[in-house]
Amino acid sequence: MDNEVKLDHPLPDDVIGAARELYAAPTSDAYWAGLHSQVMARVAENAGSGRVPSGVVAIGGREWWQVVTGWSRIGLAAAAAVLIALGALLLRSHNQEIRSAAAPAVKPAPVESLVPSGALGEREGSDSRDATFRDVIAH
Amino acid sequence: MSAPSRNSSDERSLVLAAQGGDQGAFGELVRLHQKRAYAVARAIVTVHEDAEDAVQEAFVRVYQALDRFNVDQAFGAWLNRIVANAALDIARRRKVRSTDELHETFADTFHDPGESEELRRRLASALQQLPERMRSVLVLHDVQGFAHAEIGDMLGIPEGTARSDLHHARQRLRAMLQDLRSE
Repeated sequence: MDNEVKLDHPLPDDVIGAARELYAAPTSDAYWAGLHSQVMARVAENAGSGRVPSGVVAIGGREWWQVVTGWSRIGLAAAAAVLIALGALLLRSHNQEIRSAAAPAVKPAPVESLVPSGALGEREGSDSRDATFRDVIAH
Repeated sequence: MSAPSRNSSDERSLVLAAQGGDQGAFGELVRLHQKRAYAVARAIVTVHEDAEDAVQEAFVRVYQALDRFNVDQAFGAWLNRIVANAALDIARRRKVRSTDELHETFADTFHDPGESEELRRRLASALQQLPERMRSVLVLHDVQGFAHAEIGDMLGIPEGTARSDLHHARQRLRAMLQDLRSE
């Protein structure tokens, strides 16, 4: 008995007696033999699923690794979906950047700007020089 | 609460054998501890049938977790914690149970014509009005004879809380039965 219990008044004997009667366990040996059989039957039912290894806890009838495996599958699927969506967005953004960067370059420029003035004439001159050179060689 | 009539080395041997897969040894452990397990469960769930369910569930859990039990620890204390947890799970699932139904269960199963029916009826009602933990502590201590430390260990509460719960439970019970006492 501890000090607090000594200080605390116990309940009257008749109340304790009535409580003990309310909570009395069955006294029949047959009852306990029956309960033992029920327990062992349930243990045998569960024996097939194997024992939980050291340091682990069963959750809702499944072992923790089964629960975590379920979560990891969902997590991996979600992560894959996010990565695919992110990849598609990045690709789209990248393509847009390329298009906007290339737009001025592919804009059709005036012919004059592409072929400098006199270039055609120079080309013609070059052709006449080649013809003269061929004539000299031939003679 | 008296321990089962078997010395600790015998129990240790049984636990070791059960851990090695000997179902007969496990059956012997069940036989030795089932009455004590029932007392713990009954203090928490109140109703006989629920206590039976809790005992069965607890022994299944014990069997499944037997490999991680350290044989140097007290098997009974470990079992009591598992029984208490199984009983608390059942109590949470069946929280809504009327006082009348509870009294019927008490009266039908364990009626003793020599006792005051009125006291029994009022006591059953008063116990049902106590918060679950207070009632469990009171029944485990005053009815089943467990020590505060054992109760704290079983219910996962500090020993001081178990003492305090017992004190308040007794106070409330006295107040609820006061008119009956003065009649």
